[in-house]
Amino acid sequence: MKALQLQQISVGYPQYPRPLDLLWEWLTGTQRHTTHYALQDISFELEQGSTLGIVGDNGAGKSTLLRVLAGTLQPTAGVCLATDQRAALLELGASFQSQLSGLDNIRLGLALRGLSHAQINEYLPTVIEFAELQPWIEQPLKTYSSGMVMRLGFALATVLSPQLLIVDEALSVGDQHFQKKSLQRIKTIVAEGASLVFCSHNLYQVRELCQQAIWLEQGRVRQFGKAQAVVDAYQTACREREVITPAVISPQANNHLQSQPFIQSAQLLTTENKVFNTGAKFGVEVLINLNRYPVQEVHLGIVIRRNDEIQCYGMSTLHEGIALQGHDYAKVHYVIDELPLLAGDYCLELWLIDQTGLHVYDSRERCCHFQVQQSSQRQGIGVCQLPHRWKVYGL
Amino acid sequence: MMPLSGTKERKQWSTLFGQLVYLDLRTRYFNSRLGLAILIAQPLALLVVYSWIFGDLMQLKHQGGQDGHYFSEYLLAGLIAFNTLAEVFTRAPNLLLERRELLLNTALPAVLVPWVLVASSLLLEGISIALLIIWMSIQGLNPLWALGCYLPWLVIRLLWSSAGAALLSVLGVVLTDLRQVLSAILGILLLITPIFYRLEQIPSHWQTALLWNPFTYLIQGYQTALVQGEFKVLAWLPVLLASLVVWYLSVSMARRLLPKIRYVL
Repeated sequence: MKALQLQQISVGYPQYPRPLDLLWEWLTGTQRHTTHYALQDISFELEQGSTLGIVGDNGAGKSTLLRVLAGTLQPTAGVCLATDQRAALLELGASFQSQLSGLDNIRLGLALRGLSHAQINEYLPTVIEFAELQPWIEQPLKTYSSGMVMRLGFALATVLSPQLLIVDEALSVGDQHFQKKSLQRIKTIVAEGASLVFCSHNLYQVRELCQQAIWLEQGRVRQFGKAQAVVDAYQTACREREVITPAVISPQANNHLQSQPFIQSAQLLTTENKVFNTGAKFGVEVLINLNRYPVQEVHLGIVIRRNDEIQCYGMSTLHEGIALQGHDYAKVHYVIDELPLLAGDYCLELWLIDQTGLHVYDSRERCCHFQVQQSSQRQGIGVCQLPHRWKVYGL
Repeated sequence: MMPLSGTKERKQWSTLFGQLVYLDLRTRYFNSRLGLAILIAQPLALLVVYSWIFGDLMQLKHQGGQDGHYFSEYLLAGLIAFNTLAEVFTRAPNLLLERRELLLNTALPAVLVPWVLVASSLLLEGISIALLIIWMSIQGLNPLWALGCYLPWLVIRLLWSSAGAALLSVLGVVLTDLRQVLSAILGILLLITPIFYRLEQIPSHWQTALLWNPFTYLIQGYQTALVQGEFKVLAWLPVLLASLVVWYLSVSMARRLLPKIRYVL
């Protein structure tokens, strides 16, 4: 069974120089607008129960496509067939009325989903309970914090256990507790057989969550296929665009939320000048402040990146089934006994993730800079040494 | 205005519509400190003050009216019709702009929104009419007969309200100064419509001029029905036909423009 069927969908936005031109156009019958096509000739299908990621640059048409899938925007041309039981997490809370109470906004939101009065009353307690807003539910929404509004938006959007869930960068809702709760809710919905359309700039999450992916470029499908292949192709294209001007490696501030585990420090286990030889032992020590989190909920991912943005290698304790240890702090040594990298400038990316691999507690990008030098050209050219052998035949 | 294709869809829309009307009233009235009381207090205060000033103090009676019919009842009957229409016309230009986020981010059908205003106005008018009927009962008039005579004119008022709400809500988006212009026009209309005076009281050449004002017919219809308890079919029917034509043209124009309005919101 198909959860989604899009046939030659195009969406054009008429752009009027002034609002008044809309009226003049209608009265005189002469065109007074130009049309910007955000989507052109989009066709794909999604089986019920499968997951689809959408990647692409800003302005590629991702948000427009999600709006079409969510049913809040009618395409200019083409056919979009989707199940009625769909929920969209797009700009959570954007449609709320600030002067109304949380309760009234829930009622309106549920009515907009097509529920009757009886059904609204049936689902009200579930939304309030999931959003954890019981004490404030009668208060006007303008008194809510942005996190509370997003919690309410998420609870409202997912209360009906949809058959098609459309998510736009919505995995960071509210505080850490609610982030985990919302992520769990999404996973439950998907596990129950719903299809998922997930749009994110976080390609790691797209790879983890989605089986298939679409790469949109200037409103058209550049590639559609298995998520891993599409994301890899998209990343390659991004790198090719940037390789003209090699990235200047510069330290980037760490980025963690309070009361979450974070990377206390990271340092190379090396000589003072941070220069390694190809084939030499390489190591890095990462100290993690667990911040009272159970150590089994914390994992470390490390990516080695060259200064032309090439990701040389990445791995995590989660994917290799390594459990961290410690109570307040966890210390991790990442060691490569024989560094296969060839000459170049490198740095590390460190990712502190949860046990689902989807939530990022903390990250350090472009840290622990180091240089690799070769003893001779005989060690090879390129990014790294690969195990190999030669066979020579005389004919 | 609403493309209702099936029973299920109609039921869904009616729930949503009810919710929108409730929230509109709640936002405007129920969230205030006085709440619902303001809806009753406002027309009640008008009724009491007008009766005292025009009845007891000035001893005004309408010429041309039957004996015993006081100026205050005519005035209030006319004001009920005028104020309800004015309320719809002045709110309509901001209607879609105020719901911009809802229209852009949800599946809320834009064609439903103007009807919210019409439904809200019905409740406001209902309260005022109820108070007038109670007042007239106290005065010894026959309110039930008056109510029967009033209903056909209510149909006209609703046609005007829905036409105005649909058209002005669309025009309000493309003509940014419409609300200010409308307020000024309505201020003038209040004076050139026979509400504070009877048409028969002014010079005959001005009477002819005032007959070009469509509000004159509606206001006179309300006053004649509610205070005198009379319903003149021959006066009502042409107004109904003209109103239907205006309604059709306005709603057709709004329906054509509404799908494109989101691009200029």
